[in-house]
Amino acid sequence: MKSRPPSGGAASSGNDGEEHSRRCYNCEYWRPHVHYPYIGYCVLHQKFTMDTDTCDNWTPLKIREGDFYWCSTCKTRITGEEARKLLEKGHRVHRGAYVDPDVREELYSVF
Amino acid sequence: MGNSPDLLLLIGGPQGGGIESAGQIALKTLILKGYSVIGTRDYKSNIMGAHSYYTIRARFDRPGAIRFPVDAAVALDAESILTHFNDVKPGGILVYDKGSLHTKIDAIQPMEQALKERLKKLFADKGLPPIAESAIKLAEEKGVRLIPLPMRQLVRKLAEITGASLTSVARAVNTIGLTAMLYLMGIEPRCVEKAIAAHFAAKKKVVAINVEASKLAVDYVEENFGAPSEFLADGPHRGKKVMLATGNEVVAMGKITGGLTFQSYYPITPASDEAIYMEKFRYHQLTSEAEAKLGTPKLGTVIVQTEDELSAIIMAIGAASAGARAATSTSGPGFALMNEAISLAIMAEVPVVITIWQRGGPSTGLPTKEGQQDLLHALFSGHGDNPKIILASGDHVEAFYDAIKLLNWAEKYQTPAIHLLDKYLASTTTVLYQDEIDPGKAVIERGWRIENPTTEKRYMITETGISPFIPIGGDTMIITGLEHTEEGFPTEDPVLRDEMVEKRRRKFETIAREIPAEEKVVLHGDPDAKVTLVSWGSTKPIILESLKILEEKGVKANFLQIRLFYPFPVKEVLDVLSRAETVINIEQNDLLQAAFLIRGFTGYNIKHHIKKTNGRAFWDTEIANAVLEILETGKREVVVKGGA
Amino acid sequence: MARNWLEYKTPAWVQWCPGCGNYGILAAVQRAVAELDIDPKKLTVISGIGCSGRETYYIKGSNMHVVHGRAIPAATGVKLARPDQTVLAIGGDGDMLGIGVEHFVSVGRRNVNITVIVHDNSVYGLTKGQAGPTLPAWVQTKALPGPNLHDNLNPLLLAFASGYTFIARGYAYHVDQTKELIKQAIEHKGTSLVHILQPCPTYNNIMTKQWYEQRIYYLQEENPEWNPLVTSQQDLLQKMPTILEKLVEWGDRIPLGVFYRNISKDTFEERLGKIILNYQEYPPGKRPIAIDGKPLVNPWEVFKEKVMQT
Ligand SMILES: Cc1ncc(C[n+]2csc(CCOP(=O)(O)OP(=O)(O)O)c2C)c(N)n1
Ligand code: SF4
Ligand SMILES: [Zn+2]
Repeated sequence: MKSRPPSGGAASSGNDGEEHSRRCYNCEYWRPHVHYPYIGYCVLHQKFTMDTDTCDNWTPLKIREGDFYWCSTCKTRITGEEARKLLEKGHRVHRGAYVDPDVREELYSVF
Repeated sequence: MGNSPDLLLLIGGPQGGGIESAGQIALKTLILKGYSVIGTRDYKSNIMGAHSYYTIRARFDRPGAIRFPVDAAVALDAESILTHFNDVKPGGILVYDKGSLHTKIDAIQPMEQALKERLKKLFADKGLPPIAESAIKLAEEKGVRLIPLPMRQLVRKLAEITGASLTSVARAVNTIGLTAMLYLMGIEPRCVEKAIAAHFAAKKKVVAINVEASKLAVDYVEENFGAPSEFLADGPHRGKKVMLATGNEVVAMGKITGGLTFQSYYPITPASDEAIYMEKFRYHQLTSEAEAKLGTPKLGTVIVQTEDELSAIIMAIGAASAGARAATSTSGPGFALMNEAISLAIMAEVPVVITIWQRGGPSTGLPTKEGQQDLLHALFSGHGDNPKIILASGDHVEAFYDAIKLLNWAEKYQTPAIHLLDKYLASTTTVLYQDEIDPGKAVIERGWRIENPTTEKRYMITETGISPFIPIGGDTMIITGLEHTEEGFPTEDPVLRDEMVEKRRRKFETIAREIPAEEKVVLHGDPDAKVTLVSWGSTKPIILESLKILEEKGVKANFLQIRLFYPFPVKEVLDVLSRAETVINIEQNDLLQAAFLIRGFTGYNIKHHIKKTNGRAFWDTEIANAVLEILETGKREVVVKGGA
Repeated sequence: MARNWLEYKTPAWVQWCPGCGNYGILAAVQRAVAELDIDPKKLTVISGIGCSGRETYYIKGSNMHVVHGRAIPAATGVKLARPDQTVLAIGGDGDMLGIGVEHFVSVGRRNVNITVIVHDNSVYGLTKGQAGPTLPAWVQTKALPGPNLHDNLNPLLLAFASGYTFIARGYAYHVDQTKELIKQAIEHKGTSLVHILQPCPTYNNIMTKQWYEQRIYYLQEENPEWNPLVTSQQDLLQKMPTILEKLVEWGDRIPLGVFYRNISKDTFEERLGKIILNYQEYPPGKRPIAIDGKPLVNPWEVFKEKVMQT
């Protein structure tokens, strides 16, 4: 993977609502960590990157009505319809979320 | 070895976010340092993502209670900062993620609305915006030492060092925070690293990444906040073989050591961890002496997950009738379903142990929170005249031996025997020493059992009320829930009916006589103290801590711990209560259930009560302060409310 | 060597109504265990509550009479503790398919080697004739104040879906044929169901002796080629349509006999034996638990993973 520093201009401090900032967090391939969403997993390069990283393969997240997405702001799964509205409100929406494979060892029986 | 420090630490974060590992690593670090520790997990009835936290206390002798405020806390997300900023002492340390400071209270989905409202009001009153940073400001005003960590940068660095192979992100994040805290508290990084290795043991890669994370934290802290002025003195427990286990696990160990051969259960919080832990060891290694004598290296305990609690208890009753040493394990809702079968076991005289891990009710209530609300439920469970043995353990060590004793008593007296425990004990981890968990001190007894009977009758009327136990397969018989003849055939004859009622009553008189006094009640502290605190269950170690605090404040009190609730130790309880000038009852339920039983069984009406019903365990300080308040004001009841 | 079935009588007074189908079932069970030469001590009959539940007192064995609906879990507990016992769980349609239906279903998943005998009179006899789970909708038996608004369930199909590996149906007054079914059920390794149509002359005036006898027929008699044996999953898929067709047949014609016998599934005891390797030799009801009152295990060795060296 060719990683390059954030391009100037549109990209600011990695904040919300910049569809064209070409960062991992709004890339089709990126899955933010469910609990610590500044780090995430890139399914294309199969490695962990930070939300504000980027690369030449950056691909914009496509929002389709029937699909499901993950809103890391709300920490919940949403539909395409909801995704559009939440993106407008500045939420961060992703194709999915990353969960540690051993998360079971950190969870408790709860009911 | 100098004076003992008394450390209280807290690690907060989302459920599933590595808090359990961080807590365990912290405990192991402190053990390696030679301290004695307890640690407890508090979590919500949420699957993943809601706030949870681990609280730890460590010092030279075993701490009995967890309490707030703490000496240091780690809060790596906004919700943890907002939940715990006020839980750190002035002069204490708050480690947090710089990156979460601008998070708005309303943007935190998992947070309780009631807490959000309280915080927004608090911040507004102080002219502060409704964001996490306001909490940090207030902590700073209080004199808390702030340790902001740039988690984003640190994690990036860690990813670079490890080649971005951080599969377990949550753990690495928590290791950074935890190490920063422990280091600043004066714990050598070497202990943390050893604890990481011990905790993740076989997972070499996870160990390596977390050790890197830990080093990174130490470097950052040293550079930005300086090294601690000195490391804490080592504790007295270095070079020992110890065990680290929860209450659930200790009971599982007790049962296996006590020769349990059958356990059935239906999953429920906070009980299932016990059966599941046992299941890991269902085919277990025998001692070399046993192996030599029996000619087999291993034996099994059959564990069955049933379709529901009705099935769980009946299956255990079936197995017990056929000679198994049998138990089941549940919590309040499951025990409610078992009630009919309790009566069956009483009438049919079947030995079965029921382990009840209480949680906050009524109904599904607070399924993951502390409560002692099932004492009356346990005692009055079942229909008809329904005596059964009920024993409440006060701590891990008691719970281990009690698990064995109850198996013995159930079989000796052929009756259901209830082991009353609770969520706090279930999820509190403690260090246990070799003289505490000592199989040499465990005795296994089964009573009058006849495998190949000749003329004995299954329900033979005897002076002690105890008939010979003949397992199914040993003879023809009928084990029955109907009133019966000595052979087990149904009868409604008025004379025989009363003979059987009396036989069963005599059995409980025998039990009351034979159970040693020290198993019934324990009077802790000076027997001549003017103030007597009365309580039961997991409050024991907490109250023992409270006694020390009271003594420092010039109040001499003792503590009557009731262990056996049935047959109720009338004489033993009255002896103590009638000598005291002031008696204060302490419980974690609203109805004051133990006080109700004491009144019913002894006629002694306790006039003062301290209770806690918010789902959090007592703090030692809370109890001490409430006692002082009652002594000063003569109040009837003080409700304490601590906890996050 | 068969025993005399009279050896299985007990001193208890058999107290069913005259003409009750239970007499036939009792006789069939006693004859079956006699012919199989089961030592009464090694026989365990377990029942819940109901007219039929009294049977535990009438068959000599090492028996248990538990609470309503729970014969199956009790039987499972006994069997797992003492796999050498022959265990029969018996009860009525209300006990097994109403209040205890969760156990009726769940035992199939385990395939514990026990025999479940359902005495099906379609009414709650012991409580004076309310509708049972196998009474069809709109039928009004004599104790009902109005027609039954619940549909009837199909016990055989439920057993099949639940994983029973032996399914048979008999008729209470056909003692010899029913005895043969019970014998096969006992000899089968795995959970067996013998569903027995049981006229209740006192409360069920619709599904009477005459009503049944106009409808019942034996699978084997109608079709001498009838073969309920299944030896593999593949075999099952092949025979399933024929078997299912017979399992659901109910109305003008009611089939009796063995519908299904699958010998390709392991029992729960066999599964346990794969984990607890000496389970058969040291089952929970017979294994030692101490030597001279001292534990056989040392927790510091068994629970090593909890041990730390400080
Ligand atoms: C009487 C009783 N026993 C046990 C429980 C604990 N309990 C709560 S949910 C649950 C299992 C839920 O499984 P499932 O129905 O499959 O739902 P899922 O969580 O998979 O959606 C159990 C055992 C309870 N609440 N009440
Ligand atoms: S079923 Fe429950 S535990 Fe499983 S993924 Fe869904 S929410 Fe999580
Ligand atoms: Zn959102």
